[in-house]
Amino acid sequence: MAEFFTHALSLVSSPSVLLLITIGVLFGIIGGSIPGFTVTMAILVVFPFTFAMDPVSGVSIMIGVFVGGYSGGLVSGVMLGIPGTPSSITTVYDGYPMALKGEPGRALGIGVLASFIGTVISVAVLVLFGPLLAKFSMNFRPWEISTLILFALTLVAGLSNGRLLKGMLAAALGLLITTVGYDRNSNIRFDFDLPTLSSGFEILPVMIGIFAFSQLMENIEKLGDKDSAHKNVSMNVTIPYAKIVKDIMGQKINTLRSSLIGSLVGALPGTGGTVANFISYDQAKKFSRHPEKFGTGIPNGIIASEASNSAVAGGSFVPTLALGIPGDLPMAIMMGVLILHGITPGPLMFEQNPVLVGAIYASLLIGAIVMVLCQLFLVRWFARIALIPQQVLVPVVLMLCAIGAYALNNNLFDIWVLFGFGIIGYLLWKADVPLTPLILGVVLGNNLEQQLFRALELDGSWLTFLTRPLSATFIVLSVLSVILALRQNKKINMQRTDDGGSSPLHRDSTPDHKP
Amino acid sequence: MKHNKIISIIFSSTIAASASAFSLSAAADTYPEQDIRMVIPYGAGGPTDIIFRQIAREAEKELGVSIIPVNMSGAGATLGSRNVKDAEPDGYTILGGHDNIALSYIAGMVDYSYDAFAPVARVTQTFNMPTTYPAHPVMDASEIPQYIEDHPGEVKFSMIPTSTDHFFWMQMFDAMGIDVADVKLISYPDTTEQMSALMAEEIDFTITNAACCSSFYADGTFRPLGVAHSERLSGEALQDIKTFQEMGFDMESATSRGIFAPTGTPQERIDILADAFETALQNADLKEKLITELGSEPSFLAGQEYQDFLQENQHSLEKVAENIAF
Amino acid sequence: MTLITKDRALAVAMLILCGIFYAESGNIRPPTTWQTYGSAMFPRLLLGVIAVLSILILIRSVLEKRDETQKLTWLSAYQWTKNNYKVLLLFTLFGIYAAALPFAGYLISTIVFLACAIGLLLGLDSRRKSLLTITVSLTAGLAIYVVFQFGLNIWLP
Repeated sequence: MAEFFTHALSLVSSPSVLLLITIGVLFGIIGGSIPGFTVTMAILVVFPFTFAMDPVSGVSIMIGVFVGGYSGGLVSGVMLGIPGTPSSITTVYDGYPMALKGEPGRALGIGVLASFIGTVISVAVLVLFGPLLAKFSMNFRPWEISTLILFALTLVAGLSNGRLLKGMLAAALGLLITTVGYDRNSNIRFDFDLPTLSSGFEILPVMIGIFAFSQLMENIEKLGDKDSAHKNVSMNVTIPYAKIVKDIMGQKINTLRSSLIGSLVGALPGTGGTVANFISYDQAKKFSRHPEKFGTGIPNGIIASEASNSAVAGGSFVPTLALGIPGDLPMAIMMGVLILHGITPGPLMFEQNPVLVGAIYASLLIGAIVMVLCQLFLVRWFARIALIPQQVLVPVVLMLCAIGAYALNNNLFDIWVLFGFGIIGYLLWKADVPLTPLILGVVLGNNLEQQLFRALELDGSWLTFLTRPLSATFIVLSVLSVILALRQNKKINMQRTDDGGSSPLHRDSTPDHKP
Repeated sequence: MKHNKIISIIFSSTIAASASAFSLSAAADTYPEQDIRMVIPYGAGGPTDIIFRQIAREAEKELGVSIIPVNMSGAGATLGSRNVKDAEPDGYTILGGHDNIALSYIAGMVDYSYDAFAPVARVTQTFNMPTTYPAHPVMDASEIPQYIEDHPGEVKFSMIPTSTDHFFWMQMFDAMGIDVADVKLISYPDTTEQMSALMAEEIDFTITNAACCSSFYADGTFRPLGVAHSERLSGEALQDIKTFQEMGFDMESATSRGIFAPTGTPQERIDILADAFETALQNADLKEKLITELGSEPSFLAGQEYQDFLQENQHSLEKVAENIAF
Repeated sequence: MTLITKDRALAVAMLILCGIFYAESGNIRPPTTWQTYGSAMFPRLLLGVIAVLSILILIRSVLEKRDETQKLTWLSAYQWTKNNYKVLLLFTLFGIYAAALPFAGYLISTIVFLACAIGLLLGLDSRRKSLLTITVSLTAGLAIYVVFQFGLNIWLP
């Protein structure tokens, strides 16, 4: 096995492949950092170019895009407050405030380093525990997946920062949004007789619409706000390398834990990597000695989010390689690349194409290294975005979101979806409704419904959820999570009333894009 | 909103409007002059996508222009088919579709079927097979009726609602004399989920084909139980699979993939396209790939023959549908 | 006279939404032989949850004093609009932009939109600002055009 790996390493290290990986990474980073473009689109764009390449090159460039893309989502999140991909949502919670406090370079740097470590750890998990994990994941059937999603949704309660009812409302609303369109039984729902609604709403325009518009409009509002105009924060657009390394070193356990969470969640079928950053952030907060600092711009939050979402990369290869079943869309496309070259992923691949498997591992590692190198160079420029005045930035970002939404499906309707949800997001934000639970609902809704009802179809009894050990564990975790959140909620609200006369619900311009 | 709806990507180096203006003024005998858009109403990387892309790459050589695949998945493949149906009939937009066109019509999802298109050619036929996991007591399809009798109401069949495999099961139950009330039909959104469900032994039977699963047959992860075709399939892993006819069931079922153009496309252009695909399918490498890796028989059919085939196809599907409550 | 506050407005809006959706859910096909649970069950479940939560929010806002500071009156709405008219205009501009795209095509729509939006926000009171507006609009518009159309082969409207 080792010789295959070294052979693969040498293949991947050939100049042409390295060049391809670099192109892939660059493309992924830039794609991921444009709000509305996302990793998935980047992979889709590169896909056809791989036809003409040999398998190793084709896979390498795709992996490069993959690694770069997940890292790129960080940029938009930190600089603009708009998550570049759903898996970077929690990065915004601490990344954006840190940037606002005048340290965008530091935020970006921490994110990049955390992403790198996350990827590397996940490759280690993949190589060492891949087949084992795959076998374990076969125990993860609809009951487990539904309860895991339920658990993720209860995290919402913890993320609502004292507005539990509204948080749950937002989550339910998010779930409702996913019901528009054809459902699992091929019945149309809520189309109000409009054919454009028959395919439902694409997640990305919805997510960007809800987050971007409210964030951007808030920026505009702040411009007119006399108070914040005087807050002249000196922007430190340099990259404080020493500080970043210190930040990470101080968070070793956090980094490790988050990476493991990302790898595991990525390896599980049906959940998708998006959930990883929520669970990881929540765990980091719960295990931290200063949970109240989360959301104000501390390294812990960024590390938790970025390490886990990059670790998903390695994790999602587990079912793909070990079982031949792609864990999510980018994986499905990766498999398409392989199939097109006559290679069928699956258990046989380890026997028939060990070199290719080695190449995948190698590409992931090299991709991660290349990513860090590229980011080192690019981040300087990314950080300067902070210097662009909002008046110019906002319209341009709006335009990018619109075009990104359109390019997704070549569908003008998606721009209207963006617009519509932009308005809804703005109104909800004005009404003090936390937006994150909404997005969580949107991301998970489809899956939850499918898995829940499939579980019931397979075994009509609701008790099965409790009799299966894993499923029961998640239910218990969910209940605990809600109780903890209720207690936290009470504490926060009591603190608020203790704070005296100033209207507790009337907050100053702390953007509600954090918990 | 569906997660199984995979995001699409457009490669188009022409703007459709100007393309149509162009083509209307262009003389018919210089067709094709620009790249042709082939809409694939399924996700990138899936079996239909791969098959059509492979064939298109070969056919391009005949036509002298590029055939650009455009993935437009959604609403059960109707998003893509609707797009082509309403496109300019200038021969620059074609659809890579299959029986699903008729199935969506029969299921009431759309109000059009094959007749809304000008069929160009059938390219492949992929044969579907009931499959199970290795530990299962059933060794081939002939044992299924008995197994159901021994376990009434418990046997689980997986399918994608209103899709080709859903219809396959109904046809099979009909041919085997099985009552739908005696079995459980569990719905899944796509083949991948069904495969992982089968691996986890969550369901008893699912439909697979060699396009997705030939390596799984080879290493024993899945056991194909029979093929609904008049003769056995070729290819090492596939030739040992008995046909339904051998087992005493009268049933033929295949996914017939073909190229469609919008109605009104000039016949000369359709013929040019058909010829290109015919030549493409004669390519030895392509044929080899289709048969051994994608489990599909290249089976070219064009013109009136294809029209007749489609009519028959829809007719027999409608007959099956009488037994399915939609 | 009950005052309208943010929370109450939210709750009422949600309840109306539930009503509309529930009515529409009547159009969903009832379950057939191979569907154990119908397609309408999940959405109705959600609508129920939303309705209950909305009512709870409504009750809480009526009972608790702390919400009083949030009252919306015509006056405060008017004031807010005066202060934030830019936001509203920006939304409208975007809507027009989206509508214009299929007709005017990407290049023109984008450049016009950018020019209007940036101009609106900056305030075109100086030549420098006007120049900046136009430059940025043209550059950004063209840059994206080039990147998408030629670099990525993605077709823009």
